[in-house]
Amino acid sequence: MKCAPRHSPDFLVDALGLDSLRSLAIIGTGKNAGKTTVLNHLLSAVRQMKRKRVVAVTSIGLDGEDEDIVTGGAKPRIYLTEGALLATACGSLDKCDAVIEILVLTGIHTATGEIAIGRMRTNGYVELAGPSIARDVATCERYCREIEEDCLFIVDGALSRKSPAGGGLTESVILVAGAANAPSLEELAIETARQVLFLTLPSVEEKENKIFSEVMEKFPGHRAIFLSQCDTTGKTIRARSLPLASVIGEGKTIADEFRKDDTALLLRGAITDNVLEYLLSDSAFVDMTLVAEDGTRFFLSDKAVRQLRQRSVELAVLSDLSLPLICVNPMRRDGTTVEREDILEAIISVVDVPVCELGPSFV
Amino acid sequence: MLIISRHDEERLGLPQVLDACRCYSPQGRRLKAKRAFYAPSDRSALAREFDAIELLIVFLNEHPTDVRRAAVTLGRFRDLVGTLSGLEKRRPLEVTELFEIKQALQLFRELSAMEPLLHAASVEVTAMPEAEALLDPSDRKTSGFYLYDEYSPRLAELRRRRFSVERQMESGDSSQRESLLAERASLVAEEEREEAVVRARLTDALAAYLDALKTNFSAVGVLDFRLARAALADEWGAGKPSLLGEGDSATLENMSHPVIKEDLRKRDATFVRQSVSLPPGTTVLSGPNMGGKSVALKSMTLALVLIQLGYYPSATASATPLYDFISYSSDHLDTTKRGLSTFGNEIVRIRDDASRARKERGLVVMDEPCRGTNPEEATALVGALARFYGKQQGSFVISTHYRVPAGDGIAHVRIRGIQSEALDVIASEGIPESDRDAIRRIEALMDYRIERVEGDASVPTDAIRIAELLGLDGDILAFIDDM
Repeated sequence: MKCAPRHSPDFLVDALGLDSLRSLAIIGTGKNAGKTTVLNHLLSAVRQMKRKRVVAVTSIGLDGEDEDIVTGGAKPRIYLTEGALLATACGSLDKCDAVIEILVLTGIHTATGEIAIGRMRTNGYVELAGPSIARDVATCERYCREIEEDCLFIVDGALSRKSPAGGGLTESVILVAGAANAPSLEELAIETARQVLFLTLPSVEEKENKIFSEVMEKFPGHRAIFLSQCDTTGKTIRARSLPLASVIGEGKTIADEFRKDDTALLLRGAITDNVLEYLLSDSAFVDMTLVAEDGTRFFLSDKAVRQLRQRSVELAVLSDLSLPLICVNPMRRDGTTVEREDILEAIISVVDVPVCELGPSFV
Repeated sequence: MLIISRHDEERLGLPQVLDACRCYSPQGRRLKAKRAFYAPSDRSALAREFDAIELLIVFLNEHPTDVRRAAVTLGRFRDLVGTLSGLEKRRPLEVTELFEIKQALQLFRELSAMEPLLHAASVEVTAMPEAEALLDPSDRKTSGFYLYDEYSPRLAELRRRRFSVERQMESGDSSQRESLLAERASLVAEEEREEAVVRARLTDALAAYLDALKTNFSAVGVLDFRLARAALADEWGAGKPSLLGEGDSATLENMSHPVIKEDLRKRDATFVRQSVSLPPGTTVLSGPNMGGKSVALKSMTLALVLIQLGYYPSATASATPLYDFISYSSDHLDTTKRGLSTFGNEIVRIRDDASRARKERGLVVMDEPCRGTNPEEATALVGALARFYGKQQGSFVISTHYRVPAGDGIAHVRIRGIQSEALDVIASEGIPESDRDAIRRIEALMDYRIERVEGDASVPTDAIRIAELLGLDGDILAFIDDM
């Protein structure tokens, strides 16, 4: 059965393997999807586990604030208990009502201040304002592991063009599909199915992955890497790369560099319809693999996905993700809710991943 | 005072050399960035710097592990300027600022235990156990910090009550939830007020240690900067400079230019070290094209600039008087923004240097002055400059292709260059495969050593031969012969 009972901490522990999982990111189908609620459920589940584990939490950017600074709506707060670690900006510390022991000032600076690693000395509500780039999140995890090697590192991530939170950064990902993110359940289901498609993409073959990694290491500023086979046996692969500040707005440059004997193209950044527009207008752009760093980097419409499929362009990633669970949230943007059964049915009908609805988290 | 434009500083290689001097702490980096210029009146302070660097070079060779340990400790210091300013103004410090001070106090204690290193560096860093105790009231010996219950019985009591409410919230029924949340919010607000009182009290208590904190931070900067300069001097194999009295000659033995040396090393070429003596008055450096006059001038200027900035120069031995100012100019193309022509700018610079040199003892270095002027007038100008500076108390060093007559206070040195027989050998080796090959052949036969010339130095006349070796059009060479 895909639909699990509500409020079951054991379900979360089992579905996510919280006993042994090292790291986890929570990403949503959009703003106010209900990530914080899921995070609170997770924290509660970890607290009730037989095996005691220290959690370490951070966010991509700001989260856990009382009011959504974008929409103005009331938001659930994040409740941490004594002993937990957190990585948050100094500017957010005075908005936490717990006693927090400062353990490290990381030297990572954000708009809300320097990121501090702290330990909860009492229970309490916290505001998370973590780093905005993946490399800094990894640094925070390293600091947390220096303090608690076995901690469960949880990233309350955003799914946006700017903020990667997925492959390579954490072991697993939870996708939260919120009724607030689509005008109807049908559209939410379509959006969720598309996200699942991206988040469960396979990684490219080891040989190609190795070549991409070597080029990335050699040319960190090169954001488009092309692979081509330089003989008929396909044994020898040649790589070319383009130095680009971002792939956004560089669709034409990328398409100009594309050659018909290319077999794979890695784009390091957000892959959108606009980025692919010029490539798709080239009839030679067929029978190849389009690669992203991880599944959270694809932001393609259904139309673009269909076009790619028709041209036998396969999608793949450098780091594949484990998506063990989808959580749905029936809360609409205006505070009303859709029927729990309806949203569950809508999502279950389009994905092949366990789906659950955890209900509100009373913290 | 250094009178060197930003472009000329870059040509001199000064920023690259200063970058190579690696400080670990923000305090050390700030001290380095100040670029303190040691004027003649600062002679004893500079001597102290050099004495400490001398001892540190020995120390870092004998105790490399201790130095690595110190580098790690220094690297953990943070910039606490804002926090100390807050402390000075008695602004109640934030918890993160109190944490920063606690961390710094622990680092001071670590450093204070490194006595042999501190002794070598002539630096005193003192542990501050009383201040440490303020931030660790129960002697937990932990590196973290929060507002401990021990600071205030009231704070401890409020926290106990809040904990009790939270327990009830976890175990109680949901009907009481709203009232418990309200009670908790009220306790949190009271707790915040009490925390503010505690922070203010702690700030006041720590303010008593402000001077000691400042002294320690300053000592950390000095230690770090001295250690960085010692490491650089050791890497260069530099000898300790001797500071001479006014009127003495500056001498540099086996000097090199670290940046150019590294560039040469990358293309498998070797930097030929040079020795030179610069007496008061004028020193005219001549030499053939491609003989390295500009490099020699850069090497000696950089060495003398570094000494007056408190660094060992890249020379095995050096001795120099301290100058009131050092001026170096090699190109005036970048100064045309003031609306003057290249020549106009050059004359303004010459005018200002001369005016300064009448009042103070300076080192004025010019790389081929008046190179863009008609040779007749330029020869007159350069000759006049040589005579003018020959009578001044400071030193004037120029490289030039123009003939400068011998005279009082005018010394001539030259780069030996290539013997004309050697040029014949290159010519007999046939046409070079590439420009690079031709340059390599010429460089291989060039004798870069600087030698003193008695009397009037002859102007080198090998420019046309070198042009020929670099493959200048035969017709052009024929026309040259006709002339």
